[in-house]
This record gives sequence, C-alpha cells and structure tokens, in this order.
Amino acid sequence: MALLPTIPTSFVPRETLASRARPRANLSGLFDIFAYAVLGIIFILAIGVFFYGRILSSTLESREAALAKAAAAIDPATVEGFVRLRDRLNASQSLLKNHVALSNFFSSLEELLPANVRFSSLHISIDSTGKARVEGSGAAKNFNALAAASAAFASDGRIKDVIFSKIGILPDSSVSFGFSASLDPKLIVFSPGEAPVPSL
Amino acid sequence: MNSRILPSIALIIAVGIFFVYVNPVWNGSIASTKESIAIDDEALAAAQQY
Repeated sequence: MALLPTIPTSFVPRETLASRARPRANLSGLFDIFAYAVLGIIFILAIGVFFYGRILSSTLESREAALAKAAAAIDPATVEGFVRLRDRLNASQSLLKNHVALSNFFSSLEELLPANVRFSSLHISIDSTGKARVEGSGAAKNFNALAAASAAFASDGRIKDVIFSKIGILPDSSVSFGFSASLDPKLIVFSPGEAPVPSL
Repeated sequence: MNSRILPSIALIIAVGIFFVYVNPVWNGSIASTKESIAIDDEALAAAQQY
C-alpha cells in the first residue's frame, strides 16, 4: 500500500534553512554587542572626562585662591629686597667670572722657574676672545738653567707654546733671552677658593 | 541587512564622540588645567617655605 506524498515518512525534523544560517546570525549578534559596548564605553569615558574636568577646574580655583592668600601674606618690600639681592649676586658672579687674577700665573711661574732664571720684564695681553699671551725678557745664569726652565714649562702644560728668542750672552757671562707664550685661561681666571687670605 | 544599521550608527557615534569631545578635552583643557595646578602647587610650596 503506497503512502500519500503529504504524509511524512519520518518524524525527525529536517534541517531548515534558518538553522543553517545560525552562524551568520551569531556573527551579527556579536557585532551588535561590540558596537553597543564601544558606544557604552565611550559614553562612560565622555562622562568621566566631563566630571574630571569639572573637578580639576574646582581644584584649580581653590589653588589660585590659596595662592592669592599666600601672596597677600608676603611683604612686598621683603620680596623686592630678595630680588635685588639675587640681581646683585648674579652681577657679582658674572664680574668674578670675567675677572682676571694673575696670582695663579705668578705662583706657577715661581714654582716652575729655576732659581737662577729671572725675568726683567713681563707683558701680559688678553685678546677679545679671552686668550692670554705673555711676552717678556730675562736672564739666566747659563744655558743649562734656560733649558731647565724650558723643560719645566713643557712638562707643566699650563704655560703653552713657549718660545725663547733673542738669546745672547751678557758681559757677566749670563744668558739673556726673550720670552713669549700663551696661557691656559684657567691660570688667569679668578677662583675664590684659591684667593689668598689677606694677613692682618 | 537592516539589523546592522543601528550598530553601525552606534559605532560611528562612538568614534565621533571620542574624536570630537573626549580626545580634545583630555589633551586640551584638562592637560592645561593639570599643568596650571602643578605650577600653583609649586608656588604654594615655595610660599610655605618662605
């Protein structure tokens, strides 16, 4: 006996098109959730930024009020005194920085020169760039003393480019010489720590 | 297709809010206010020291 085509042969539900399309619907749902979540987060962020800005503004107002109160409590004359003191200190600092003190140079010369070499004249000049140059003349007991002086200058290094010129022999058999050299700027700059303490 | 329109609009609005309000305010007025507060704090500390 043949069954009519309208009568189902199985009661197991067939796979429908809707059930096949479920993964796509899930993806769409995920996108919805993502979009609304992003919108929600941005809303919360915007609200947070708004209130944070308000809090910061009120904090700034309170700070400015406290600052105005503190400024009112300060004596203007005292502040003016401090400003003048600072200006004077700055001015004295710049003056000391540019102040030429030859004490170090003469001390070095005293240490370096052998006792039997003497200068009869010294001329120190400083050009616009701050480079110091020394020229002079003197006499040494003999050539060995002059060589010792030259070696001492070379080994020290602070008195540079030393040239002994116009070498001659004097009637008392001592050696006369001309002298020129350039000086290390540190040698002629005033440094308070090295300033000699005046004795009373 | 229609079901994606609203989430897309929400996403566009979110991006718009971020770039039109959140980012400029955070980097603009909030940053300058924080800087002013820091300067005021320094001045107050100096005043207290004085």
